[in-house]
Amino acid sequence: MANLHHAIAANYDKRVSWVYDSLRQWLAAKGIALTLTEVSNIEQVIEQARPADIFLAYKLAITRPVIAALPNLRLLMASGSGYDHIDVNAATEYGIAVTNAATHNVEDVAEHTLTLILACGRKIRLLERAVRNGEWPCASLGQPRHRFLGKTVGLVGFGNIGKAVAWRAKGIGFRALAYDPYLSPEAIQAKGVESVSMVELLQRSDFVSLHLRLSESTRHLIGKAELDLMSATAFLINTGRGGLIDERALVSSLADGKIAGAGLDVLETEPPNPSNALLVMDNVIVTGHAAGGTVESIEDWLKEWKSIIESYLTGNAIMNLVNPEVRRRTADVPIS
Amino acid sequence: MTQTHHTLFAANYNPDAMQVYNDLRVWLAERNVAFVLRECTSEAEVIQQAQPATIYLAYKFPVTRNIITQLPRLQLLLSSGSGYDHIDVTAATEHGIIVANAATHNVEDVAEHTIALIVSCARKFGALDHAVRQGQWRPPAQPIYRFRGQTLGLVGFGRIARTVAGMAKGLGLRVIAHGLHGSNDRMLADGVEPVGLDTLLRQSDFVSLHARLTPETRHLLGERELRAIKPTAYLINTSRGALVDEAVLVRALTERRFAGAGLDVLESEPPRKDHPLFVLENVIVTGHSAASTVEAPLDWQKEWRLVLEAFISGNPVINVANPEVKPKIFPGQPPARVS
Repeated sequence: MANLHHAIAANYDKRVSWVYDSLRQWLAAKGIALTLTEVSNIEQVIEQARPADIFLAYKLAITRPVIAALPNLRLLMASGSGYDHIDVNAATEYGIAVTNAATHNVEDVAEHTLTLILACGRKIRLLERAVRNGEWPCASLGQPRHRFLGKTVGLVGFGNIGKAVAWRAKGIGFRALAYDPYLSPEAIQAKGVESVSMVELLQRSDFVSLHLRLSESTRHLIGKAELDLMSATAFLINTGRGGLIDERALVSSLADGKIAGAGLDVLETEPPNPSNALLVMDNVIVTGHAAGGTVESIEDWLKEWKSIIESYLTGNAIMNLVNPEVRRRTADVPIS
Repeated sequence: MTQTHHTLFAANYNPDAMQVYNDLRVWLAERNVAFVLRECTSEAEVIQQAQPATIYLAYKFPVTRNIITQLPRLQLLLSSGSGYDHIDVTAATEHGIIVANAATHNVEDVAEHTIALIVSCARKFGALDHAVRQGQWRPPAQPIYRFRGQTLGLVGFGRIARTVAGMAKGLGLRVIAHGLHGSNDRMLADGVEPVGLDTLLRQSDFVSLHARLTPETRHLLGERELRAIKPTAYLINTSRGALVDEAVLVRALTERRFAGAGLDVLESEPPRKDHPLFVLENVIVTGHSAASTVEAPLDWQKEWRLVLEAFISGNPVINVANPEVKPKIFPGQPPARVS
């Protein structure tokens, strides 16, 4: 019997090609073909993806025209946890379930966030550069360097990652604040974290850390007005998405000493323009979108994809659904 | 205010802490203790300048047996920081001189710095930040491992190590330790597994040193010990450089026998400008800055005063490094005691 299913992965991260090979083998054992393809424009995507009901999307923008042109599509999987490259509204209208890999790297991103907080707070980069340039001792460099105990980490967004950061920060001795408009103050307080307004968070935090999705409503959430509310000894940490920050405003704020520094794993444009002023600043640490990529998270990532596909194939409730309001396409729309 | 016979002598000081010394002068004056601060460059100079001293506040400049023998009035040798490897404690004990230190003021700061080095090494921050600035985004995958479940091995289990252990457990690390002074009960109480040094070196993903430098601990980690460290592990040192045989360490790191090192201290400080460690990208060196937070000097000052207050007022001295000492007795003065 011909298998009704067909999967496509358009573009992928070459560094982890083994993950895709492994997925291909797993699908093959179920009699499902996986087309692994490199595409560079909408026409190519549509042409290649036409037979597919399962689409694994890495980075490439899955826009309304793409979605409208794929009649067989039923499961649209963001390969990572972010899905800002997918037009979820359009997918919902067309009855397509959208999922993400929401949990595989939660603790890895939290660990990286905490590392940025500690490295920024201790001015590790500045000290390390100074030593290599012949300075010793360095006690007076990078001052003020403050003790962490009792200092405040403010989490903008208190989802899985925000909570995981709070837990770790408290273990070091920090106090934690959070702002999350989707949660009640009680839900935040239940985790031993103080619930505050955005303004209060910016004013009170020694480290402001961003843990929310990029959408039209969160783009440039941190702009000049917000940076001006932060204290001159505070740091901005971002392991979410670069577009959450108005980078031009951040550059001015850092150059004028209005905030102490920034720890950034993500930038507004990736890869960055070589002339990006952040790349030559001494009070900035940039780690090149590496937060989620531990050895363990990549193994968990593959497991998470498989679970999502399994839930779809068996007709159960689809795991990690990001558009639960979707009315899924039914059998009267043909598959292949 | 009773008249005291005391004179505090301080040879040299950390220029960043000038305010601390000025405040100390005022505080001592209120207690009728004379204060002598001299920049000295030789033992002869120290011996000459310190003649009236009953209390010696020692910053860095070695307080040798020769100096100790020639200061007849000396009763209390206070190390300005928590280390006292610059003081000949044995000679002091023989001469009835109490040695004390500022043991706790920077425990938190050094522990925090240690954790910052551990996670910065683990996440390969030096290499990542450098690569990004060289125009490489998403640098080629290197093995970076999740912290949770990795093993931190603490060599020494004093105040700083215990604080590091608490923080590390908050990050999900498993913590094992090798105590140098029979501290197994404290380890078990803190949920830390006591192990021998060899086991610690073989099992740990991070080996962190928290021991005093003494003749016994000099080069505690040499060729044999560094060979036992796992290829994926990091060595962290915020204690004293000479705990590690640095020539062997340089070789091990150059040959990438293990993953890297986070070092706040080196065997010889200041190091030569062309130190071979400074060209390695798997090494983070932070220039003996672990303890120097804004908050530390305030606590530091408080701690000196607690030690000095106890001594001046004839109460048992705290933070004593040589509790076996039999303090000198001077006529007309209550004998000094140790707690």
